[in-house]
Amino acid sequence: MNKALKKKVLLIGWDAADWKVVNPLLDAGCMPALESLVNQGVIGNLATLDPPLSPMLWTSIATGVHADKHGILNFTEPAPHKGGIRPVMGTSRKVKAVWNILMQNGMKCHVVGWWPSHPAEPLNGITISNFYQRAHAPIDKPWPLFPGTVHPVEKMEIFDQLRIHPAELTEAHLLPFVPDAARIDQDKDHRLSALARIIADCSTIHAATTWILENEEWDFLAVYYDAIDHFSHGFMNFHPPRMKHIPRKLYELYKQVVTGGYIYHDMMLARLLQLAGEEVTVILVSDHGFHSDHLRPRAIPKEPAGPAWQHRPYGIFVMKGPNVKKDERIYGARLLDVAPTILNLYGLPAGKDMDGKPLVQAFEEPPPLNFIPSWESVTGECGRYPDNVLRDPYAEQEAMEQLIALGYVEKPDENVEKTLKRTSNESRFFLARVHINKNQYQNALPILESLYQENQKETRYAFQLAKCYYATRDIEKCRETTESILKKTKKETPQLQLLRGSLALIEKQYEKALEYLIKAESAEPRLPTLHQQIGQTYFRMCHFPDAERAFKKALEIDPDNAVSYDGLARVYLRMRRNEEAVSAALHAIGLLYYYPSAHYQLGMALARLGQYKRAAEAFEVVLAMAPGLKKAHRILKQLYTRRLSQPEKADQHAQILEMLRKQRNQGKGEMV
Amino acid sequence: MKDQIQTAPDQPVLPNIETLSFDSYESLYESITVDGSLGVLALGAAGVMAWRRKRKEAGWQPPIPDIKKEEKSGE
Repeated sequence: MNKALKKKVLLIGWDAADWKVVNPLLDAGCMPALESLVNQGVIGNLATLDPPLSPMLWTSIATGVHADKHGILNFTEPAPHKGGIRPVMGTSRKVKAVWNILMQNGMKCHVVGWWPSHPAEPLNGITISNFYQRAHAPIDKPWPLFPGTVHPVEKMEIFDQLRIHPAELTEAHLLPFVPDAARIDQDKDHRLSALARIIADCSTIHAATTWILENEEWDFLAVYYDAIDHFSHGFMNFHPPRMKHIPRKLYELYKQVVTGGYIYHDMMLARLLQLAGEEVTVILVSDHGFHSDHLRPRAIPKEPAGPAWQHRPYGIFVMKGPNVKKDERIYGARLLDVAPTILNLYGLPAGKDMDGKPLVQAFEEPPPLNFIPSWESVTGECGRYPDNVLRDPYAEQEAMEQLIALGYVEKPDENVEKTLKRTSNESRFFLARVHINKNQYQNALPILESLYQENQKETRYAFQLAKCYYATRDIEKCRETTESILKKTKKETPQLQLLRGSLALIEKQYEKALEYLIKAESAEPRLPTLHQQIGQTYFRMCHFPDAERAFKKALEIDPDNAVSYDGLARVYLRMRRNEEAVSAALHAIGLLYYYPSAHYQLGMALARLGQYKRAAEAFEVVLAMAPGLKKAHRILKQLYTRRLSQPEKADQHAQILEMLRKQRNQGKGEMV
Repeated sequence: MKDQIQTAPDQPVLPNIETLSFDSYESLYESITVDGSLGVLALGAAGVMAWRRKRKEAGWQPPIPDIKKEEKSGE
């Protein structure tokens, strides 16, 4: 085994952890364990994927691929043997996770609590499924472990004993979060019980993980803590500053819960770091962030997965270990990059069929970048499920109730068929959004068209359908779909004005668009997308100083908005302020690497500044993301011919342009 | 949880979570009380098992049934 293969990697998942909450706590010295990681390693935003649904996202982290490939599309799935629905299971994952690949290469792997991971995969180490931690009965009644929760089964008794029941907790555990807990009328307000459940569940996961670290040999350990997401969904509305609609009494009672949750995670992190040792590479990630400031939504839409509206599009990424840069920030990391980066750390190739890339910018001396076509075709024992895995309907029911309590899943309808249909529709809708997230609008269109045809009341489907028509330049259908939404919506809201404005913008009626958008602004001035649309409209009208002002206004409201930076880059390009265009485009890319438009603006600005090599690199990135973009091929053809003296490369782009021209003539062209 | 929180409003509460020390696990471990603490839970398996031993020594009887016995009788 070579030197690279002797590495140990500890992958820690904190669902919904967000730098906006972490940073003030770091500054106040309240998260010393995380601070030590930050000081000794690299940090960055981790761009999430759409839709931001945790089981889908954690599976992308583990596999390096989008959900259309890994198959985990929803919180729930049809239960073939029961004729109803059940929580999404690990058995539904269609591709290998990073731990399967590592096991195939001789590493001892342990996985704790990953979502979804029930039943526990038969790895060569210990696997604890995501059905492990929940106490499903009162403390004076039996609450045996569900079958399939622990692998190997001989270890069940040990892990059974490590579970903590919420009713075991005392004031000592709860008062640090809610110092005035005694003032709560628990007959009316059940938040304290919810808090106890969250603390007990994550402490159970933590106890299992520390037991493995103390007692087992290991090369790779992945653990997933869901508690920050649960603290946040339950208590972020009480987090300072006080939201106007939150009664002061409740605010005072619960204002410390979210920060308390983060600090408790730091305490657990300290223990993990202590047990893991110095020479281990530690990677701490979250799947998405969570709005904690003025961008917190006042209300959650009543729709499946509605609470996901509280999620922010950037999670956290921290990595520390041998050969990892120290005290540096990296840009452009995505969830999809985590698995390829772990393979790279072990000196193993990433699969070419993976959607992510190793984060080589994080290393002092980047390990060699190797690729193989796919790990799926590599044979050998990898600890995946046998074909005839057992399922436990009671465990599934318990997990379902937890999802319903969190608001992620609606209470199933008594009519099984109706429930099944709704689950299937939502999964198709989420799949369409995955395609849109990948800029594969042509794949999303037939799904959304059929969904909207079957479910005319669902304006959510229509919104995404209109977006696809717009992206594919089918303006007529875009207008029809938008008008059908407008007809169904009775109340005049700022969002509706925004939609009317967007439609007018599509139809190049700029004055009319501005009229709607400014009306919306007077009703809801803090909507970042509104200012982006105003910026777009002024841009189209060639009123560049006004466009600049609008995009800057959007950034005042949400400084982490890649779309607004991209808009600014385009404005600066038109104003010939090329250095500023480079800076704005780099900001956009730093926030969201998978953003072809921002790379395109960067390439244009660099070319104007005479930095032709860097410009060509930027356009190559554009084409890696959007291979059919003719204007990028044209510019590259010119750059390679006139500026970089690389006629072979110029020829390649000329040939692709010719092929695209033929495809367009045959009606096969795809808009990007 | 209703039975768990009996602290009267005018009673002093525990220090806020911010004041807990995280670099003194050994002292936390030695000073485990019957009530336990977040520091003990953060110790993980070792802390949980030690806390349960401490409670048992103090005569605290958890209302937890013998799971194995229940399972066997169920069979």
